[in-house]
This record gives sequence, C-alpha cells and structure tokens, in this order.
Amino acid sequence: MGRWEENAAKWHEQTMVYCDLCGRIIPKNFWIVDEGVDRLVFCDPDCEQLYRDYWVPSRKREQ
Amino acid sequence: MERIDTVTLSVINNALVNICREMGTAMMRTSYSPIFNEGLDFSCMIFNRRGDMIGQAEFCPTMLGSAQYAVNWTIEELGLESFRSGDVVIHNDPYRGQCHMPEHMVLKPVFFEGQLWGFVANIAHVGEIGGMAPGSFAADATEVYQEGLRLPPVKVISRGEYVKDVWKIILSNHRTPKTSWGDLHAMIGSLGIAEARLLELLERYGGERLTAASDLLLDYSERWMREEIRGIPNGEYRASDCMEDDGVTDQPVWLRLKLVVRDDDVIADWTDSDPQAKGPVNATFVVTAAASYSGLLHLTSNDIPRNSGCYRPIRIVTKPGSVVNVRHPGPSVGGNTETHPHLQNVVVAALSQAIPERAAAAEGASGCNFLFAGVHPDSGEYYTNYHIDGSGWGATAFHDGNSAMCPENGNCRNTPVEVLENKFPWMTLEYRLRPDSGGPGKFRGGLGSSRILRVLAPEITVSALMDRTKTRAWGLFGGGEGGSGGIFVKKKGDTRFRTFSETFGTVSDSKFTRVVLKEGDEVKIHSPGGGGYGPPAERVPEALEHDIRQGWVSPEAARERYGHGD
Repeated sequence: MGRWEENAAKWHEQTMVYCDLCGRIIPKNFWIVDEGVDRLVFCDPDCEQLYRDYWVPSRKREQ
Repeated sequence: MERIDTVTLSVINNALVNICREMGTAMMRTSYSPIFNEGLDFSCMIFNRRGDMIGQAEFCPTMLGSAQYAVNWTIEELGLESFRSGDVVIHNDPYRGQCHMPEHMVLKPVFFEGQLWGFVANIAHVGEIGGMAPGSFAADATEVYQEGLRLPPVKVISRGEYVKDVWKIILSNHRTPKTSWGDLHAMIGSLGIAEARLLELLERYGGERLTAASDLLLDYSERWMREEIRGIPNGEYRASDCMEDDGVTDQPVWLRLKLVVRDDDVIADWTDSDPQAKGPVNATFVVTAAASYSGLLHLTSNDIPRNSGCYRPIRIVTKPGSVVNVRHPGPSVGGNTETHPHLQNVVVAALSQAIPERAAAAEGASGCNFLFAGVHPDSGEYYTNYHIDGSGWGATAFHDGNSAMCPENGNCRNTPVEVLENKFPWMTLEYRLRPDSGGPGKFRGGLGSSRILRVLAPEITVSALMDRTKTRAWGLFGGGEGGSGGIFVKKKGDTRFRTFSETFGTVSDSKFTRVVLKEGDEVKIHSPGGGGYGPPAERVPEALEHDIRQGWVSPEAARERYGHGD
C-alpha cells in the first residue's frame, strides 16, 4: 500500500524527484511505495498500477 | 452529476473553443514580433481549477499537449490559495513542466462569485530571452543556463499591479527588451479578453453548471478516444528515427518507440531511446508526451473534443537522462522544434503497421530554425529575429503531402517576404518550391522550399538549428524518401554556395551559432521534403503530368522515379 509524501526540499533548493514509471519530474506531492528494501516513487497510484501491469511484466519478458 | 443535454454541451464546447480563438486573434494583432503576428507560434487554452485543460483551438500541438503539465506544476508549486483576482503568472522552466526555454506561459486565474473557478492561459514563443546566442536558440549549448533566462512560475502582475522587480529582471536579461515588453503584453492582454468572455459564459450558465458541463466534456473526450483506440488491433508496434547530430558532436541520436495498444489504452514506451545528447536536441518529458498525443490525434477522429480527457488513455514511459527526457541541467531548445516532429513521425510510423490506411509517410520534420541579429542600418536599433521555413509533409493513402508547411508539431505559418524585408536588412533573391524534393509515390510527398537571402547591412550574426539535412523523410508502402534539406553560405565574391562547416568550421552543417556574415554575403536555406505513399508506378498519369507542368517533378525524375515515358 502506498502513501502520499511531499517533496521536503526548501524553496531555495533544487531537488528533482523523478517518477519510477513515466520519468516525469514530480512537482511536489508524490506517491511512495515500499518494496522490501526498495522505495519506489510515482506521480500517483495510476503510475504505480501501470508499473505493475506493464513495466514489470514487459521487462521480465525481455530478460 | 447534473444532467446537461447534448445540445447545451455542444454549445458550451464551441464557446470554450471560440474564446481560445479570440484570445489568439488578439495576440496576433497586438504583438510586436513576426514569430507572433506572422508565424502564429502560440497557443491559447482554458483550464478548470483542477488544472484540466477544458478548451483549446487550432494552435501548436507541442504547446497544447504540454500545457496541462505546465499549469499543473504551477498550481502545485504555488498552491491554489496563492491566486488572487488580477494576478498573472509567467513560467518557462523546462524543468518545471515547460516545453523549452523560449515558450513562455502566462496564466490568469478567473474568479466567479468570489471563488476561483479556473484559469485562462497561453503559451508563446518569445523570440529573444538572452543566453549565449542572439535569438536564444543556441544550437551548440551544453546546458540549460546557456539557453536564456529561466523563469519558474512567478507573478508578473499581482492583483492587477505590475510586479516591477520581476519585470526588471526579465527585461534586463533579454537583448531586445522593447520587443519582449510588447509581445508579453500581447499575451497578457489576450488573457484579459479570455477572462471577460469566460465570465460572460459563467454569468449565462452559472459556475456549478459550467463546471459540470466541462467535466462531462472531459469524460466524453476520454470515452471517444478510448473507442478510437479499440479500433486499433492490440499489439506491440515498434519504430525509430534519429536526429542526425546534436550540434555539439557529429553523431546521430536515436529515438526508439515501442507502442503498446491494449484494448482501450495506449502505452508509448520510449525507454530504448539513446542517452541524453550533449547538444540541445534533447526533449523534455512534456515534449515527448505532447508528441505522443499529437501522433495519436493525427490518426483518430478530428471531431474528438480537444481537451485533457482525450490524453487520459495515452500513457507515456521514458527514462530520465535520455534524449526523450532530459535531465537537469541538459539543454533542450531544439527538442521542442526539431525532435518533437521526429517523435510524432515515429508514433505514426509505428501505427502505420496497424492502421496503414490512416497513416502518413514521414514529413521533413524541421522548422529550419534560422536566427539572426544585428544593428539595423536604417534605424540604428539592435534587432533579433526567429525565422522558420516550412518543409514537405508526408503523403497519405489518399492525398499528396502538403508542400512548404511548418512541421505538424507547430502548425505555424511562414513570414511573407515583404514583412521580412521591411523589418530586417535582407534581400530575398529566391523563394520557391524545390523540384524533386517530394518523395515519389502513388501519392507524392510534399515539396521543400528554397530561399536565398542577401545581407544588406554591414554585419548580421546568424545561427541555425535544422535537421534532416543528412537523413531523409521515409516513404510508406513503396513510397520513396523525400529530399534532404540544408543551409549554405556564399561569401561575397565566391562563385558557389558551401556548407557552414566548410566556410566557418562549424561542427555541424545544420546546427551552429553566432556566425558573422558581412554585407553582400548570401544564405541559402533548403527545407527537406516529405516521403511518398504507395508505389510510384501507381501514380495517376494525369497527376504526374500536372507535377511536371508545374515544375514540381523534373522530366528526368519522372523517368527515373516513376518510369514516365518508358
């Protein structure tokens, strides 16, 4: 189960957070999913869903 | 949700589109730069308070597809609570959801009965924003900081009053501040018109009813796009293309797509594309998204209402640090103009395997971006200008490609010779279609153009960013390739045109900056042609003979490529 988090960077810092599925830089609020020791960052639950429905199976097939 | 009859919905949709059109007309008539008032390099839109685009008109697909990202970023970074009536926010940061540095968005909140109802916005190409090259199109830039002044979303007008400190920063960093002042006010002024028209609509229907109607339109557009996608056979379709070089190194950069159709949605997976280029052919994520949307919109019904709803079934997958998703601080000014049409062509090429009857061959896909600057000998004033030329479009299953048209990503216009010569110290010696530059086919690719300009001032500094000067637009289903483009120079006293590499030692023939030309020197711009569709032998003889009479196909090419007269 994921949770919403806010980019904690201060206004004078340039911290760019990229979605682990689509690659977009996320403006402020991102969707975090803990997978064992990994921490996956997504734009929203839709990107997480596509990660599971498409990305993971397609990479497994190609390996 | 409130029930609204389809007639009312249609009336509201058309009203939203017409507000955007009127915004565009106002900008065209009041701007200072030819890239605005002749080139029409701008787009106008309306958003709801969630940041969904609910209205747009026939403007630039690059801007239209990416605008929702820029607006969403702005809302999220500033917060809805920060907006006040009379505010205008400006934003051009490619690392905050914008396309590339010259595209500036201005956004105005619209309040109705004391509540924030939505936003009116436009994005336009501001022709000079500082940076290492006059005209802010640095073809040899290696980082975003060389491409001009980067503006995160900031208010330039607050509660109707100028934020003078921000204006001073902007205008101090542009080489032609008077022109920027005029063009930015054309953008902001058009927002005022759109705000007034939207308020009239809100008065007529009420805030809740207009919100309900625009939500229905978003859902309707999404359903229609999903229905169109259901008409495409499920499967994985792959295609690729390359940028011939990046302006800094003389190596091609590859764009590779796996397009997956899954019942009623589409995944545009670009992750096999090359790593980020050193030079400015990188696309930002939003450019790649916009190109993917545009490719799909070219192949589906023209009648789908153009709003954020029709983008929902199209998912984008990219890798940060690649040519399709530049990572900070990489340069990206060419990604929006040159890489975007290539990306869109790749989407169409992939889907040509599934729906050949709806696809088009590749287009010339270059805006032939030509920048120049100097002191005008008549006025003594410093000027810069961003000039574009049209290239040939790809042929389709039922039509020849359009000739000398701005690439499909821009939907812009060329600048008439009279305007160019009136405003800048050039003499046009030639401007014509290039014979045999359209790919042969049952339907012929569109022709590129040839333009020769002579310098009439003591000096003009020129830069260029073009592509498809070494590569060619591909044909489809037996159609032939379009002709390559090019940019050449003839120094005064020389007997022939040569490449800029040969004459000035630039790394790339087609991407260079800050070359100083002298009075009497000449520049020749050849825009590339589009690919043909279907076997040339199947071209209707009357159509080929018409091409020969018009001088679009030479008798030699008619014989060699079409077997004419055999």
